[in-house]
Amino acid sequence: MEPLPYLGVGVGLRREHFASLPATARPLDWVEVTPETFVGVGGRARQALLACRARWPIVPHGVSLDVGGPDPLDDAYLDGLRRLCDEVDAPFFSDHLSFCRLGGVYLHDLLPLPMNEGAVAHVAPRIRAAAARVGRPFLLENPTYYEVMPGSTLDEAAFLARVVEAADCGLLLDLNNVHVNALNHGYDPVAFLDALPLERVGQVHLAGHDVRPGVVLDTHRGPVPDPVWRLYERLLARTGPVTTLIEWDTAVPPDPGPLLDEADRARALLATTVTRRAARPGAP
Amino acid sequence: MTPDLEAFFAAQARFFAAPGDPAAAAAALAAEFPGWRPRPARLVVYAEAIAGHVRATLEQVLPATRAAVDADRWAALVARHRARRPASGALAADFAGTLDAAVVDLDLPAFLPALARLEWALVAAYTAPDAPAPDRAAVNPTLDALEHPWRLCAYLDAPAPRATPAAGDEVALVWRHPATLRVHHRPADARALLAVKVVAEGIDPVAAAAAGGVSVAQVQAALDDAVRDGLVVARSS
Ligand SMILES: [Fe+2]
Repeated sequence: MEPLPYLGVGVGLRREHFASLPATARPLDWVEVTPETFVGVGGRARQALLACRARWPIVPHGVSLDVGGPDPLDDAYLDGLRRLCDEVDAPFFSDHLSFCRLGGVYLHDLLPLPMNEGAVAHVAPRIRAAAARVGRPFLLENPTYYEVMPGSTLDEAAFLARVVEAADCGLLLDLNNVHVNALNHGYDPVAFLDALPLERVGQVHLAGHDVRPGVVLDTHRGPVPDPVWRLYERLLARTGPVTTLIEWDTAVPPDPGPLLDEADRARALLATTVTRRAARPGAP
Repeated sequence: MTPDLEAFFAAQARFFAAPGDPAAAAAALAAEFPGWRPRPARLVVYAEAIAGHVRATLEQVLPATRAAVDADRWAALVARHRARRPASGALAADFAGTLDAAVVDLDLPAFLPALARLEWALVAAYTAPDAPAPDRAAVNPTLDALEHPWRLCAYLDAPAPRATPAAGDEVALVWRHPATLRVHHRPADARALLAVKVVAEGIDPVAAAAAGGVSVAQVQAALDDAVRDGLVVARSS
Protein backbone atom coordinates (compact mmCIF):
# COMPACT_ATOMS: atom_id res chain seq x y z
CA MET A 1 0.00 0.00 0.00
CA GLU A 2 1.34 3.42 -0.98
CA PRO A 3 1.65 6.03 1.80
CA LEU A 4 -1.39 8.31 1.82
CA PRO A 5 -1.11 12.09 2.17
CA TYR A 6 -2.02 13.76 5.46
CA LEU A 7 -4.79 16.29 4.78
CA GLY A 8 -5.64 17.69 8.24
CA VAL A 9 -9.27 18.09 9.35
CA GLY A 10 -12.23 18.22 6.99
CA VAL A 11 -16.01 18.27 6.98
CA GLY A 12 -18.55 16.83 4.56
CA LEU A 13 -20.15 19.10 1.97
CA ARG A 14 -23.88 18.97 2.73
CA ARG A 15 -26.78 20.50 0.81
CA GLU A 16 -27.48 22.86 3.71
CA HIS A 17 -23.99 24.38 3.29
CA PHE A 18 -23.67 24.61 -0.49
CA ALA A 19 -23.42 28.40 -0.28
CA SER A 20 -21.95 28.93 3.19
CA LEU A 21 -19.15 26.34 3.37
CA PRO A 22 -17.16 27.48 0.31
CA ALA A 23 -17.33 31.04 1.69
CA THR A 24 -16.26 30.26 5.25
CA ALA A 25 -13.42 32.25 6.80
CA ARG A 26 -12.90 29.53 9.46
CA PRO A 27 -9.99 27.07 9.28
CA LEU A 28 -10.74 24.02 7.13
CA ASP A 29 -8.22 21.69 5.49
CA TRP A 30 -10.21 19.47 3.13
CA VAL A 31 -13.75 18.51 2.14
CA GLU A 32 -15.42 15.11 1.80
CA VAL A 33 -18.16 14.67 -0.82
CA THR A 34 -20.59 11.81 -1.43
CA PRO A 35 -20.26 10.91 -5.13
CA GLU A 36 -23.95 9.94 -5.17
CA THR A 37 -24.77 13.64 -4.66
CA PHE A 38 -22.35 15.09 -7.21
CA VAL A 39 -21.71 12.69 -10.10
CA GLY A 40 -23.58 13.85 -13.20
CA VAL A 41 -25.22 16.65 -11.21
CA GLY A 42 -25.11 20.32 -12.20
CA GLY A 43 -26.66 23.47 -10.76
CA ARG A 44 -26.08 24.44 -7.15
CA ALA A 45 -24.43 21.15 -6.17
CA ARG A 46 -21.82 21.54 -8.89
CA GLN A 47 -21.25 25.21 -8.10
CA ALA A 48 -20.58 24.23 -4.48
CA LEU A 49 -18.26 21.39 -5.50
CA LEU A 50 -16.20 23.63 -7.79
CA ALA A 51 -16.06 26.42 -5.19
CA CYS A 52 -14.76 23.96 -2.59
CA ARG A 53 -12.33 22.46 -5.08
CA ALA A 54 -10.87 25.92 -5.66
CA ARG A 55 -9.96 26.13 -1.95
CA TRP A 56 -9.37 22.62 -0.59
CA PRO A 57 -8.52 19.02 -1.45
CA ILE A 58 -11.67 16.97 -2.14
CA VAL A 59 -12.13 13.31 -1.17
CA PRO A 60 -15.10 11.29 -2.52
CA HIS A 61 -16.65 9.04 0.14
CA GLY A 62 -19.36 6.80 -1.29
CA VAL A 63 -22.19 4.70 0.05
CA SER A 64 -23.19 2.76 -3.10
CA LEU A 65 -19.99 1.06 -4.29
CA ASP A 66 -21.33 -2.19 -2.80
CA VAL A 67 -17.98 -3.93 -2.30
CA GLY A 68 -19.73 -6.66 -0.33
CA GLY A 69 -22.75 -7.37 -2.49
CA PRO A 70 -23.58 -10.31 -4.76
CA ASP A 71 -24.32 -8.21 -7.87
CA PRO A 72 -21.50 -7.29 -10.27
CA LEU A 73 -19.93 -3.90 -9.54
CA ASP A 74 -21.96 -1.12 -11.20
CA ASP A 75 -19.88 -0.04 -14.22
CA ALA A 76 -21.72 3.24 -14.71
CA TYR A 77 -21.27 4.10 -11.04
CA LEU A 78 -17.54 3.33 -11.22
CA ASP A 79 -17.14 5.39 -14.38
CA GLY A 80 -18.84 8.33 -12.68
CA LEU A 81 -16.63 7.89 -9.63
CA ARG A 82 -13.54 7.87 -11.81
CA ARG A 83 -14.62 11.06 -13.58
CA LEU A 84 -15.26 12.77 -10.25
CA CYS A 85 -11.92 11.63 -8.80
CA ASP A 86 -10.10 12.81 -11.92
CA GLU A 87 -11.89 16.13 -11.97
CA VAL A 88 -11.08 16.99 -8.35
CA ASP A 89 -7.76 15.11 -8.43
CA ALA A 90 -8.80 13.12 -5.36
CA PRO A 91 -5.85 11.85 -3.29
CA PHE A 92 -7.94 8.74 -2.48
CA PHE A 93 -11.57 7.61 -2.28
CA SER A 94 -13.51 5.47 0.15
CA ASP A 95 -16.61 3.39 0.85
CA HIS A 96 -17.81 0.84 3.40
CA LEU A 97 -17.28 -2.85 4.21
CA SER A 98 -20.92 -3.75 3.59
CA PHE A 99 -23.45 -4.48 0.86
CA CYS A 100 -26.26 -2.26 -0.37
CA ARG A 101 -27.67 -3.93 -3.50
CA LEU A 102 -29.53 -7.20 -4.10
CA GLY A 103 -30.71 -8.27 -7.53
CA GLY A 104 -30.26 -4.77 -8.94
CA VAL A 105 -32.27 -3.14 -6.15
CA TYR A 106 -30.44 -0.49 -4.12
CA LEU A 107 -31.43 -0.74 -0.46
CA HIS A 108 -29.65 2.52 0.41
CA ASP A 109 -28.28 1.19 3.66
CA LEU A 110 -24.89 -0.19 4.72
CA LEU A 111 -25.75 -3.81 5.39
CA PRO A 112 -23.45 -6.18 7.29
CA LEU A 113 -21.80 -9.27 5.82
CA PRO A 114 -21.08 -12.55 7.53
CA MET A 115 -17.59 -12.18 8.97
CA ASN A 116 -15.70 -15.18 7.60
CA GLU A 117 -13.00 -16.19 5.10
CA GLY A 118 -15.57 -16.70 2.34
CA ALA A 119 -16.60 -13.05 2.61
CA VAL A 120 -12.93 -11.96 2.65
CA ALA A 121 -12.37 -13.87 -0.58
CA HIS A 122 -15.49 -12.31 -2.09
CA VAL A 123 -14.84 -8.69 -1.08
CA ALA A 124 -11.07 -8.32 -1.56
CA PRO A 125 -11.03 -8.80 -5.38
CA ARG A 126 -13.99 -6.43 -5.72
CA ILE A 127 -12.07 -3.75 -3.82
CA ARG A 128 -9.00 -4.31 -6.00
CA ALA A 129 -11.14 -4.10 -9.15
CA ALA A 130 -12.86 -0.89 -8.00
CA ALA A 131 -9.56 0.78 -7.04
CA ALA A 132 -8.03 -0.19 -10.39
CA ARG A 133 -11.03 1.07 -12.31
CA VAL A 134 -11.09 4.40 -10.46
CA GLY A 135 -7.30 4.67 -10.58
CA ARG A 136 -6.88 6.04 -7.03
CA PRO A 137 -5.97 4.51 -3.65
CA PHE A 138 -9.02 3.11 -1.84
CA LEU A 139 -9.85 3.31 1.87
CA LEU A 140 -12.35 0.86 3.38
CA GLU A 141 -14.53 2.07 6.25
CA ASN A 142 -15.53 -0.12 9.21
CA PRO A 143 -19.35 0.04 9.27
CA THR A 144 -21.73 -0.36 12.16
CA TYR A 145 -23.76 -3.57 12.41
CA TYR A 146 -26.65 -4.23 14.73
CA GLU A 147 -26.43 -8.01 14.61
CA VAL A 148 -23.71 -10.53 13.77
CA MET A 149 -24.75 -12.22 10.52
CA PRO A 150 -25.09 -16.02 10.25
CA GLY A 151 -21.98 -17.97 9.32
CA SER A 152 -19.59 -15.52 11.00
CA THR A 153 -16.40 -17.17 12.25
CA LEU A 154 -14.11 -14.15 12.63
CA ASP A 155 -14.47 -11.32 15.11
CA GLU A 156 -14.95 -7.84 13.68
CA ALA A 157 -11.35 -6.67 14.05
CA ALA A 158 -9.98 -9.86 12.46
CA PHE A 159 -12.46 -9.63 9.58
CA LEU A 160 -11.60 -6.00 8.89
CA ALA A 161 -7.87 -6.72 9.08
CA ARG A 162 -8.18 -9.73 6.78
CA VAL A 163 -10.09 -7.74 4.16
CA VAL A 164 -7.80 -4.69 4.05
CA GLU A 165 -4.75 -6.92 3.93
CA ALA A 166 -6.16 -9.17 1.20
CA ALA A 167 -7.29 -6.14 -0.81
CA ASP A 168 -4.09 -4.22 0.06
CA CYS A 169 -6.14 -1.08 0.69
CA GLY A 170 -6.22 1.58 3.37
CA LEU A 171 -8.51 1.74 6.37
CA LEU A 172 -10.95 4.56 7.00
CA LEU A 173 -11.44 4.10 10.71
CA ASP A 174 -14.78 5.48 11.90
CA LEU A 175 -14.33 5.85 15.65
CA ASN A 176 -18.03 6.49 16.25
CA ASN A 177 -18.72 3.19 14.54
CA VAL A 178 -16.15 1.51 16.80
CA HIS A 179 -17.84 3.02 19.85
CA VAL A 180 -21.36 2.13 18.65
CA ASN A 181 -20.36 -1.44 17.77
CA ALA A 182 -18.59 -1.84 21.12
CA LEU A 183 -21.79 -0.81 22.91
CA ASN A 184 -24.10 -2.91 20.73
CA HIS A 185 -21.95 -6.04 20.92
CA GLY A 186 -20.34 -5.61 24.33
CA TYR A 187 -16.65 -5.43 23.44
CA ASP A 188 -13.76 -3.24 24.54
CA PRO A 189 -13.18 -0.54 21.88
CA VAL A 190 -9.53 -0.05 22.90
CA ALA A 191 -8.76 -3.74 22.52
CA PHE A 192 -10.52 -3.55 19.15
CA LEU A 193 -8.18 -0.74 18.03
CA ASP A 194 -5.19 -2.73 19.27
CA ALA A 195 -6.21 -5.66 17.05
CA LEU A 196 -6.29 -3.58 13.84
CA PRO A 197 -3.45 -3.00 11.37
CA LEU A 198 -3.26 0.67 12.38
CA GLU A 199 -0.47 1.35 9.89
CA ARG A 200 -3.18 1.15 7.22
CA VAL A 201 -5.36 3.89 8.74
CA GLY A 202 -5.41 6.70 6.17
CA GLN A 203 -8.37 8.60 7.56
CA VAL A 204 -10.63 8.82 10.60
CA HIS A 205 -14.34 9.64 10.86
CA LEU A 206 -15.66 11.31 14.01
CA ALA A 207 -19.43 11.45 14.46
CA GLY A 208 -22.35 11.17 16.84
CA HIS A 209 -25.05 8.56 17.39
CA ASP A 210 -28.48 8.01 18.96
CA VAL A 211 -29.10 5.82 22.00
CA ARG A 212 -32.40 3.93 21.72
CA PRO A 213 -33.85 1.25 23.97
CA GLY A 214 -31.80 -1.89 23.37
CA VAL A 215 -29.65 -0.50 20.57
CA VAL A 216 -27.32 2.40 19.73
CA LEU A 217 -27.90 3.78 16.23
CA ASP A 218 -25.19 5.17 13.96
CA THR A 219 -27.03 8.32 12.91
CA HIS A 220 -24.17 10.83 12.50
CA ARG A 221 -26.08 13.28 14.61
CA GLY A 222 -23.42 15.61 15.95
CA PRO A 223 -21.60 16.86 17.96
CA VAL A 224 -18.99 14.16 18.58
CA PRO A 225 -19.59 12.59 22.02
CA ASP A 226 -16.86 12.43 24.66
CA PRO A 227 -16.18 8.66 24.47
CA VAL A 228 -15.46 9.06 20.74
CA TRP A 229 -13.04 11.92 21.46
CA ARG A 230 -11.28 9.73 24.02
CA LEU A 231 -10.93 6.93 21.44
CA TYR A 232 -9.54 9.50 19.00
CA GLU A 233 -6.87 10.53 21.51
CA ARG A 234 -5.96 6.88 22.10
CA LEU A 235 -5.71 6.31 18.39
CA LEU A 236 -3.57 9.39 17.74
CA ALA A 237 -1.18 8.30 20.49
CA ARG A 238 -0.69 5.13 18.48
CA THR A 239 -0.70 6.46 14.92
CA GLY A 240 0.39 10.09 15.07
CA PRO A 241 -1.52 12.67 13.02
CA VAL A 242 -4.09 11.16 10.70
CA THR A 243 -6.46 12.78 8.20
CA THR A 244 -9.72 13.39 10.07
CA LEU A 245 -13.30 14.14 9.11
CA ILE A 246 -16.22 15.43 11.17
CA GLU A 247 -19.27 13.49 9.94
CA TRP A 248 -22.60 15.18 10.72
CA ASP A 249 -25.48 14.04 8.51
CA THR A 250 -28.60 14.10 10.69
CA ALA A 251 -30.18 17.36 11.89
CA VAL A 252 -27.44 19.24 10.04
CA PRO A 253 -27.28 22.80 11.45
CA PRO A 254 -28.18 25.51 8.93
CA ASP A 255 -24.75 27.10 9.38
CA PRO A 256 -21.54 25.01 9.20
CA GLY A 257 -20.21 26.73 12.35
CA PRO A 258 -20.97 23.85 14.75
CA LEU A 259 -19.22 21.38 12.40
CA LEU A 260 -16.21 23.68 12.16
CA ASP A 261 -16.16 23.94 15.99
CA GLU A 262 -15.78 20.15 16.08
CA ALA A 263 -13.09 20.37 13.39
CA ASP A 264 -11.22 22.93 15.54
CA ARG A 265 -11.31 20.53 18.47
CA ALA A 266 -9.87 17.74 16.33
CA ARG A 267 -7.21 20.07 14.95
CA ALA A 268 -6.17 21.06 18.46
CA LEU A 269 -5.74 17.39 19.39
CA LEU A 270 -3.77 16.73 16.22
CA ALA A 271 -1.47 19.66 17.00
CA THR A 272 -0.56 18.18 20.38
CA THR A 273 -0.03 14.71 18.98
CA VAL A 274 3.52 13.46 18.97
CA THR A 275 4.39 13.05 15.33
CA ARG A 276 5.16 9.41 14.96
CA ARG A 277 4.75 9.52 11.24
CA ALA A 278 7.03 12.46 10.55
CA ALA A 279 7.87 10.96 7.19
CA ARG A 280 4.26 11.25 6.05
CA PRO A 281 3.91 13.89 3.38
CA GLY A 282 2.22 16.95 4.87
CA ALA A 283 2.16 15.71 8.48
CA PRO A 284 2.45 18.53 11.03
CA MET B 1 -18.84 -16.63 -4.10
CA THR B 2 -19.21 -19.53 -1.66
CA PRO B 3 -22.57 -21.38 -1.55
CA ASP B 4 -22.96 -20.15 2.05
CA LEU B 5 -22.59 -16.55 0.97
CA GLU B 6 -25.04 -17.06 -1.91
CA ALA B 7 -27.56 -18.52 0.54
CA PHE B 8 -26.98 -15.57 2.87
CA PHE B 9 -27.75 -13.01 0.15
CA ALA B 10 -30.79 -14.96 -1.04
CA ALA B 11 -32.16 -14.96 2.51
CA GLN B 12 -31.45 -11.23 2.85
CA ALA B 13 -33.31 -10.56 -0.40
CA ARG B 14 -36.35 -12.46 0.91
CA PHE B 15 -36.13 -10.57 4.21
CA PHE B 16 -36.09 -7.12 2.61
CA ALA B 17 -38.80 -7.99 0.08
CA ALA B 18 -41.11 -9.49 2.72
CA PRO B 19 -44.35 -7.53 2.91
CA GLY B 20 -45.95 -6.44 6.15
CA ASP B 21 -44.71 -7.11 9.64
CA PRO B 22 -40.91 -6.68 10.02
CA ALA B 23 -40.88 -8.75 13.23
CA ALA B 24 -42.38 -11.71 11.36
CA ALA B 25 -39.86 -11.27 8.54
CA ALA B 26 -37.02 -11.17 11.10
CA ALA B 27 -38.24 -14.39 12.71
CA ALA B 28 -38.46 -16.04 9.28
CA LEU B 29 -34.91 -14.90 8.45
CA ALA B 30 -33.55 -16.24 11.74
CA ALA B 31 -35.25 -19.58 11.14
CA GLU B 32 -33.37 -20.00 7.85
CA PHE B 33 -30.03 -20.45 9.66
CA PRO B 34 -30.04 -23.19 12.30
CA GLY B 35 -27.77 -22.27 15.17
CA TRP B 36 -27.99 -18.55 14.50
CA ARG B 37 -29.56 -16.73 17.45
CA PRO B 38 -30.03 -13.11 16.38
CA ARG B 39 -31.90 -10.57 18.47
CA PRO B 40 -34.99 -10.08 16.25
CA ALA B 41 -35.31 -6.42 17.29
CA ARG B 42 -31.86 -5.80 15.82
CA LEU B 43 -32.94 -7.21 12.44
CA VAL B 44 -36.10 -5.13 12.56
CA VAL B 45 -33.88 -2.02 12.78
CA TYR B 46 -32.70 -2.76 9.23
CA ALA B 47 -36.13 -3.57 7.80
CA GLU B 48 -37.56 -0.39 9.28
CA ALA B 49 -34.62 1.79 8.26
CA ILE B 50 -34.80 0.67 4.64
CA ALA B 51 -38.58 0.97 4.31
CA GLY B 52 -38.48 4.26 6.24
CA HIS B 53 -35.87 5.67 3.90
CA VAL B 54 -37.94 4.82 0.82
CA ARG B 55 -41.04 6.37 2.37
CA ALA B 56 -39.29 9.52 3.62
CA THR B 57 -37.51 10.13 0.30
CA LEU B 58 -40.69 9.69 -1.76
CA GLU B 59 -42.63 11.98 0.57
CA GLN B 60 -39.96 14.65 0.43
CA VAL B 61 -39.52 14.57 -3.34
CA LEU B 62 -43.14 13.92 -4.39
CA PRO B 63 -45.28 15.73 -1.79
CA ALA B 64 -48.30 16.36 -4.04
CA THR B 65 -48.30 12.74 -5.23
CA ARG B 66 -48.21 11.60 -1.62
CA ALA B 67 -51.07 13.94 -0.68
CA ALA B 68 -53.27 12.56 -3.48
CA VAL B 69 -53.59 9.05 -1.99
CA ASP B 70 -54.78 7.79 1.38
CA ALA B 71 -52.39 6.31 3.95
CA ASP B 72 -53.17 2.65 3.24
CA ARG B 73 -52.60 2.85 -0.48
CA TRP B 74 -49.51 5.00 0.08
CA ALA B 75 -48.08 2.31 2.37
CA ALA B 76 -48.78 -0.32 -0.30
CA LEU B 77 -47.03 1.78 -2.95
CA VAL B 78 -43.98 2.40 -0.75
CA ALA B 79 -43.73 -1.35 -0.11
CA ARG B 80 -43.85 -2.10 -3.85
CA HIS B 81 -41.30 0.48 -4.93
CA ARG B 82 -37.77 -0.69 -5.74
CA ALA B 83 -34.84 1.74 -6.05
CA ARG B 84 -32.61 0.97 -9.01
CA ARG B 85 -30.21 3.91 -8.96
CA PRO B 86 -27.14 4.35 -6.74
CA ALA B 87 -28.07 7.89 -5.65
CA SER B 88 -30.63 7.70 -2.88
CA GLY B 89 -32.00 11.09 -3.95
CA ALA B 90 -32.92 9.47 -7.29
CA LEU B 91 -35.05 6.87 -5.52
CA ALA B 92 -38.19 8.68 -6.72
CA ALA B 93 -37.06 8.76 -10.36
CA ASP B 94 -38.82 5.53 -11.25
CA PHE B 95 -41.80 5.89 -8.93
CA ALA B 96 -44.14 6.85 -11.79
CA GLY B 97 -43.48 3.37 -13.18
CA THR B 98 -44.49 1.82 -9.84
CA LEU B 99 -47.68 3.90 -10.03
CA ASP B 100 -48.37 2.90 -13.66
CA ALA B 101 -48.30 -0.74 -12.59
CA ALA B 102 -50.60 -0.09 -9.61
CA VAL B 103 -53.26 2.24 -11.02
CA VAL B 104 -55.77 -0.51 -11.69
CA ASP B 105 -55.29 -2.91 -8.80
CA LEU B 106 -54.94 -0.21 -6.15
CA ASP B 107 -57.66 1.90 -7.80
CA LEU B 108 -55.41 4.97 -7.87
CA PRO B 109 -56.48 8.31 -9.37
CA ALA B 110 -55.67 8.17 -13.09
CA PHE B 111 -53.63 11.38 -12.99
CA LEU B 112 -51.27 10.11 -10.27
CA PRO B 113 -48.46 8.71 -12.51
CA ALA B 114 -48.42 11.93 -14.56
CA LEU B 115 -48.29 13.99 -11.37
CA ALA B 116 -45.35 11.93 -10.10
CA ARG B 117 -43.57 12.43 -13.44
CA LEU B 118 -44.09 16.17 -13.17
CA GLU B 119 -42.86 16.35 -9.58
CA TRP B 120 -39.82 14.24 -10.44
CA ALA B 121 -39.10 16.47 -13.45
CA LEU B 122 -38.68 19.39 -11.03
CA VAL B 123 -35.94 17.47 -9.20
CA ALA B 124 -34.38 16.26 -12.45
CA ALA B 125 -34.17 19.85 -13.72
CA TYR B 126 -32.66 21.04 -10.45
CA THR B 127 -29.90 18.43 -10.59
CA ALA B 128 -29.43 18.19 -14.40
CA PRO B 129 -25.80 18.38 -15.52
CA ASP B 130 -24.46 21.77 -16.50
CA ALA B 131 -23.99 22.27 -20.23
CA PRO B 132 -21.09 24.26 -21.67
CA ALA B 133 -22.08 27.79 -22.71
CA PRO B 134 -23.38 27.52 -26.30
CA ASP B 135 -21.74 29.36 -29.20
CA ARG B 136 -25.20 30.23 -30.52
CA ALA B 137 -28.64 30.51 -28.94
CA ALA B 138 -29.77 27.06 -27.78
CA VAL B 139 -32.74 25.48 -26.07
CA ASN B 140 -32.02 25.20 -22.35
CA PRO B 141 -30.68 21.61 -22.00
CA THR B 142 -32.57 21.19 -18.69
CA LEU B 143 -35.93 21.85 -20.40
CA ASP B 144 -38.38 18.97 -20.25
CA ALA B 145 -41.88 18.89 -21.78
CA LEU B 146 -44.47 16.54 -20.27
CA GLU B 147 -47.79 15.94 -22.01
CA HIS B 148 -50.87 14.81 -20.10
CA PRO B 149 -54.64 15.28 -20.23
CA TRP B 150 -54.86 17.22 -16.93
CA ARG B 151 -54.04 20.78 -15.84
CA LEU B 152 -51.30 19.60 -13.52
CA CYS B 153 -49.27 22.82 -13.38
CA ALA B 154 -52.20 24.66 -11.80
CA TYR B 155 -52.86 21.65 -9.58
CA LEU B 156 -49.27 21.72 -8.30
CA ASP B 157 -49.48 25.45 -7.65
CA ALA B 158 -52.76 25.21 -5.73
CA PRO B 159 -52.52 25.18 -1.93
CA ALA B 160 -53.10 21.82 -0.22
CA PRO B 161 -55.51 20.19 0.25
CA ARG B 162 -56.08 20.12 -3.49
CA ALA B 163 -59.19 19.06 -5.37
CA THR B 164 -58.94 16.76 -8.40
CA PRO B 165 -57.02 18.37 -11.28
CA ALA B 166 -59.11 19.85 -14.08
CA ALA B 167 -59.23 17.82 -17.28
CA GLY B 168 -57.61 19.31 -20.39
CA ASP B 169 -54.54 18.64 -22.51
CA GLU B 170 -51.39 20.27 -21.20
CA VAL B 171 -47.74 20.36 -22.19
CA ALA B 172 -45.96 21.16 -18.93
CA LEU B 173 -42.58 22.83 -19.37
CA VAL B 174 -40.04 22.27 -16.60
CA TRP B 175 -36.61 23.85 -16.62
CA ARG B 176 -33.78 25.27 -14.50
CA HIS B 177 -33.06 28.92 -15.21
CA PRO B 178 -29.42 29.13 -16.36
CA ALA B 179 -28.70 32.29 -14.34
CA THR B 180 -30.74 31.93 -11.14
CA LEU B 181 -30.61 28.09 -11.08
CA ARG B 182 -34.24 28.16 -9.93
CA VAL B 183 -36.57 25.51 -11.34
CA HIS B 184 -39.75 26.69 -13.07
CA HIS B 185 -42.81 24.92 -14.40
CA ARG B 186 -45.69 26.23 -16.46
CA PRO B 187 -48.04 25.10 -19.20
CA ALA B 188 -46.56 25.71 -22.63
CA ASP B 189 -48.20 28.45 -24.69
CA ALA B 190 -47.91 29.20 -28.40
CA ARG B 191 -45.26 31.90 -27.94
CA ALA B 192 -42.97 29.74 -25.83
CA LEU B 193 -43.33 26.80 -28.21
CA LEU B 194 -42.62 29.09 -31.19
CA ALA B 195 -39.44 30.43 -29.58
CA VAL B 196 -38.23 26.94 -28.66
CA LYS B 197 -38.95 25.64 -32.17
CA VAL B 198 -37.20 28.57 -33.87
CA VAL B 199 -34.10 28.07 -31.73
CA ALA B 200 -34.10 24.26 -31.79
CA GLU B 201 -34.43 24.08 -35.56
CA GLY B 202 -32.31 27.15 -36.34
CA ILE B 203 -35.19 28.77 -38.26
CA ASP B 204 -34.63 32.32 -39.49
CA PRO B 205 -37.04 34.61 -37.57
CA VAL B 206 -38.16 36.20 -40.87
CA ALA B 207 -39.08 32.78 -42.26
CA ALA B 208 -40.75 31.84 -38.97
CA ALA B 209 -42.83 35.04 -39.06
CA ALA B 210 -43.91 34.40 -42.64
CA ALA B 211 -44.79 30.76 -41.91
CA GLY B 212 -46.74 31.67 -38.76
CA GLY B 213 -48.51 34.69 -40.19
CA VAL B 214 -47.07 37.00 -37.51
CA SER B 215 -44.69 39.93 -37.64
CA VAL B 216 -40.91 39.54 -37.30
CA ALA B 217 -41.15 41.80 -34.24
CA GLN B 218 -43.56 39.33 -32.64
CA VAL B 219 -41.16 36.43 -33.25
CA GLN B 220 -38.29 38.47 -31.87
CA ALA B 221 -40.32 39.39 -28.77
CA ALA B 222 -41.13 35.71 -28.19
CA LEU B 223 -37.42 34.88 -28.46
CA ASP B 224 -36.48 37.68 -26.06
CA ASP B 225 -39.03 36.46 -23.51
CA ALA B 226 -37.79 32.89 -23.85
CA VAL B 227 -34.23 34.05 -23.12
CA ARG B 228 -35.42 36.14 -20.15
CA ASP B 229 -37.37 33.20 -18.75
CA GLY B 230 -34.48 30.80 -19.34
CA LEU B 231 -36.23 28.50 -21.83
CA VAL B 232 -33.56 29.51 -24.31
CA VAL B 233 -29.92 30.07 -23.42
CA ALA B 234 -28.44 33.04 -25.27
CA ARG B 235 -25.14 32.74 -27.08
CA SER B 236 -22.27 33.33 -24.65
CA SER B 237 -20.59 36.65 -25.44
FE1 LIG C 1 -18.26 7.07 8.73
